[in-house]
Amino acid sequence: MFDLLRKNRRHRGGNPRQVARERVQSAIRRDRMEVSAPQLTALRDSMLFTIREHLPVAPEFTEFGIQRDGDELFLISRVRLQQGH
Amino acid sequence: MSGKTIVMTSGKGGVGKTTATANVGTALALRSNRVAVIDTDIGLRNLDVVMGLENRIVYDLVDIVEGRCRLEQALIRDKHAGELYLIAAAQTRDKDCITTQQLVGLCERLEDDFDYVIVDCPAGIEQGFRNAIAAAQEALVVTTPEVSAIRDADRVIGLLQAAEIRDIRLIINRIKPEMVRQGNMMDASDVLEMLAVDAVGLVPSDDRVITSTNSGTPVVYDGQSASGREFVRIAARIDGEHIPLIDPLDEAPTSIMDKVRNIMGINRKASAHV
Repeated sequence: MFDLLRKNRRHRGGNPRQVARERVQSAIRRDRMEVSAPQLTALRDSMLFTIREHLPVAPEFTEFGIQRDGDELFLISRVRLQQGH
Repeated sequence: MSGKTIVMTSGKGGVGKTTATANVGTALALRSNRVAVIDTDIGLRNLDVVMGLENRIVYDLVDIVEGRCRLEQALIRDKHAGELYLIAAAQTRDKDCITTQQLVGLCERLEDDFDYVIVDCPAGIEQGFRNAIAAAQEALVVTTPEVSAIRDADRVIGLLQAAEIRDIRLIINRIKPEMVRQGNMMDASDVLEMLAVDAVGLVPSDDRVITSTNSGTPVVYDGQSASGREFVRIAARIDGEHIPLIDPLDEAPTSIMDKVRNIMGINRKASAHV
C-alpha cells in the first residue's frame, strides 16, 4: 500500500534521481559559463533562430549547455530536426 | 625522502572531508608510510577530535609559523598508527593569520621527512582554501551525491585546475545503495559524468563512521565497516596500487538473508567495476 503511494508520488513529482541530475547539470552549466540563466536562454534562442533559417527544427531542444572535458570547455547543443522535409 | 602534498577539499562543508582526511591518512600510515596530516581549518578545528588526539595538543599550526615552537614540537604522534602525525589548527585565531607562503614553506619542510603530507582544507573558497591548495601537488575532492555538494565540487575543481593542480581525483562519500536502487539518489556514474574527473573511492554511507568518530578511532580500524574498507582501498590506490573501484551497490546486501550473512561476515559479494 505504502509502496503504491510512494510510486504514485514519485510518478507525479518525477524520478528524484533524474530531477537531481537535471538540477545539478543546470546549475553547473551556468556556473561554468559564469553567465546568468537569462543570458544562456538568449544564446539558445539565438542559435535556434539561426538554425531555423536553414533547417526545420523540432520544437524541443534535447541538449544545450557547457561541458568540461579535461581542462577544456565545450558548448554542446543537440538539436532535433523535424523529419519528412 | 621527498614526499608529496595532497590537499583534501570539497567546497561545501559537512560532506565528510575531515573524516576522509583522518581515515586516508591513517590507512596510508598503516601501509608503512610516514604521514603528516595538517588541519588548516583555523578557528574550527576538528581533525584532532576525529583522530582522538584532542587532549595531546600543546602547539598548533599558528605556533609553528609564528615561531613559538619548533616543527617537531607541534607534530602530535598518533596513538595507533606509528608513523602518523597531526598538526592541529589553532582554535582561537582566524584563517587570515597565516599566509600562503608560510603554509607552502611548512609543507616543503614536511615533504623532506614524510611520504605524504595531507592538508585538510577548510570549507569555502576563501583565503583558507587558497592557502591549503597552494602547497599541493595533488587534490582529492570529497563530495556526496547531492545537488549542492556536486555543484560546489565542480566549482572547486575549476579553481584547482586554474591553480595548475593537474592530479585531481574524487571521493564520492555517503552513497546510499538502497536510495540509489529506489531511484531516489544519484549514483556514482551520475556524479562522475557531471564532474568529469576520475574517482579514487566510492564510500558508502555507514553508521559506523559516527561511532568511530565518537570514540576517536578512525573507521579504517573497523573491519566490519564498509566505509572503512573503502578508505583502506583509497589509500592503496593513492599509494599506486591498482585496485578497481567498487560500486557500493554491488557490495551492499539486497535481501534479508544477505544482510544476515553480511553480519556474520560471510558472503562478501564480488566486486564490480564502475
